[in-house]
Amino acid sequence: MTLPPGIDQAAFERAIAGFRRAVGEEWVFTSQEDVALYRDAYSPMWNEPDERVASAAVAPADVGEVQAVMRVANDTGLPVYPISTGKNLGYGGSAPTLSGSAVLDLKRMDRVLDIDEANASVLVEPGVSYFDLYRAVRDAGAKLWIDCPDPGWGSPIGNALDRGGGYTRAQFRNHFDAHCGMEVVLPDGALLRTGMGAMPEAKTWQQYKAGFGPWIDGLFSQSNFGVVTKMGFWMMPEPEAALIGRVYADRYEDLPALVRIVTHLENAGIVNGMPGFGSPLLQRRIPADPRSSAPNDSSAVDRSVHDAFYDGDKAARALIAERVRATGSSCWSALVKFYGPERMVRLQWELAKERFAEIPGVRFDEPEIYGFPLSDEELEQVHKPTFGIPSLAIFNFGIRTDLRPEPMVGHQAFSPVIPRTGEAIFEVNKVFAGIFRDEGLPLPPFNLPGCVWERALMMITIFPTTHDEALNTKYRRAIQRLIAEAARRGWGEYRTPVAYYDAVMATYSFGDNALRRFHETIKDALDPNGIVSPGRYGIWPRRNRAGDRA
Amino acid sequence: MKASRRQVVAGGGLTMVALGMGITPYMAGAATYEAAPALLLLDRALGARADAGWADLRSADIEIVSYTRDCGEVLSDRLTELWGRGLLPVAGLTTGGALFCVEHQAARFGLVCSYREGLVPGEALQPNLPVAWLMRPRSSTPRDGSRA
Repeated sequence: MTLPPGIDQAAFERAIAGFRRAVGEEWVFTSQEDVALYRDAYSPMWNEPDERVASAAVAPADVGEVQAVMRVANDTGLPVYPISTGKNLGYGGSAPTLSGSAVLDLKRMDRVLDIDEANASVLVEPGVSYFDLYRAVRDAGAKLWIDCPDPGWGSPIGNALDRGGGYTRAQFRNHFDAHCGMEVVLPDGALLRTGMGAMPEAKTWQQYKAGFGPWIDGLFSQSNFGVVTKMGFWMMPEPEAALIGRVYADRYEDLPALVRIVTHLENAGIVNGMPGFGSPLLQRRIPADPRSSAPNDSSAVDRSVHDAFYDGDKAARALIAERVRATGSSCWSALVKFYGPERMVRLQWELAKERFAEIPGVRFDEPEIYGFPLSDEELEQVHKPTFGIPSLAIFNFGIRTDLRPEPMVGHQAFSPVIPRTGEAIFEVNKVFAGIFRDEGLPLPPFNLPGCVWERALMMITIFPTTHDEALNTKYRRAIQRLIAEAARRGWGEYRTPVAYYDAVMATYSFGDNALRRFHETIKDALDPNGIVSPGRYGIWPRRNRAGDRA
Repeated sequence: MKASRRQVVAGGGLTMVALGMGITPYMAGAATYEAAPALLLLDRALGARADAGWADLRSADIEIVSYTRDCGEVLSDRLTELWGRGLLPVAGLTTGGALFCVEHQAARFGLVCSYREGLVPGEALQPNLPVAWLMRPRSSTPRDGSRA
């Protein structure tokens, strides 16, 4: 068993005894068999000395027990690592950032506390999954949509606190922005409610976000300043219809205009669902396409076309143009979504087409119109999260291709935020291609970004994780380089696996690391003993800042 | 339904943990169950790719729960309800990806995958390929169920 720095066996045993008094003996887990279940199944450091592992786990049933656990952690110094449903696969799973920490498992706190259909909001505990919430909303007969990420077994609270995203309208698919009010157990055990919840007997906790004074909710996302035990969320009222529009442009140089028009349409509120970009010629599918949400497998694409997209010079454009003519496949595609009354979404689509007509030769498919509830046949075909329905279908898709033939057990994501322009997409692809070549990795297909957030793009590159140490080391080295090279060009990550927390935090270094030092000041003030998730998102308490982070 | 102790503890990707621990299949064939499964889980989208394995499983004459491509609702509702009542074996003919999800959830109730066999000759288990499998109660953990 691994213990954290500064914690000896006697202190650990005192902590375990205290946890047992706090939550009951049966809810403290110390056997090797039990603790192993908190390993990160997708760890990029599997079985290596640096793999992050827990020493124990403790599962409180309510807020009072969470407070009691915090008191024990402070008394003994054993850090705790809160998880909600522990499904953060690809970004760390349920394993702690600091090995030897005890996982604070909140799965037992699994109540949907309120569903307000009239005001389209809910209040939940951290152990509630998207499936649980979907079922509760359905059972209540409320015509509300949830916005969920692709795997629907995660927690709305956990995903929002990690600043995850979904697939419907912008104000809902940004999961942290969609929250309204939270309850937090602070490291000293005190209980805090934010926004209107700070007022005893508040009537508008899930209706008005800011409350009075500084709005502090953001401090509890991607951080380790407390344990969130309740969160409110605004929900999307079920629309009458959804319209899916498809746009095609044939010239390589059309991408900047396509991105610019989509961005304007979304910022203007004409497109109100998540847009996306693809390339039929490259067989690059658009993410969250209701017709096919399978990831790309571009191994069949002609290598010369593949390379031409990276080069983008005159000769490359001529080759692409020739292939477009020969195959009838467009160079680019865009998908735009509209939610609302059918008459309105049809009009929005017509307005959007007028704007896209600026692109010479632009073409459109007949739009798809969906009404609700979806039929059984539609449910079997569509990308469910686009329609507010949780799903696990994403797990059916492998990313093992001719370009990446090795067996994989999971994935890790390199996820920089880039400007929302076609020019940025071209530049990012060229820069990253150079790094792939330098690192001896196969060049992936030309990458197109996700549009989860308004006004920016997210250029996700997926790397496998395996049980082969040499391969994992190779991919980790490539990601470390990508993080550094991207930062030199002003592209920073929105989220990263545990293995890269410190590397990413180090890139947000403006003003001699003023942001990190600000985080540390808050950390030391709220958590002087450093007992909540040391190292999470690169925020280390004082006792671990002298290199004592084993 | 209140969460059981086992439901709470297993939160982090049991499939890979189980593989890492070297859990060994105890059966020679899909039709020779140690205890009859309470139901068979079937992905209808597999179609002809899984016909041989399906014939084996169907011969067991037990309840079939089917879905197409997305096991999410069956897993979160039907299997959760089933395993909440007791630790009953469940067999399946699904993609490797669905097996990952079922195995992850099964661990929360104290079941493990005791048998898995890919149904595409020469191919290792992959998320998009068919696999026959069996979940059974974890007999090596005496407290399973007793404290639920």
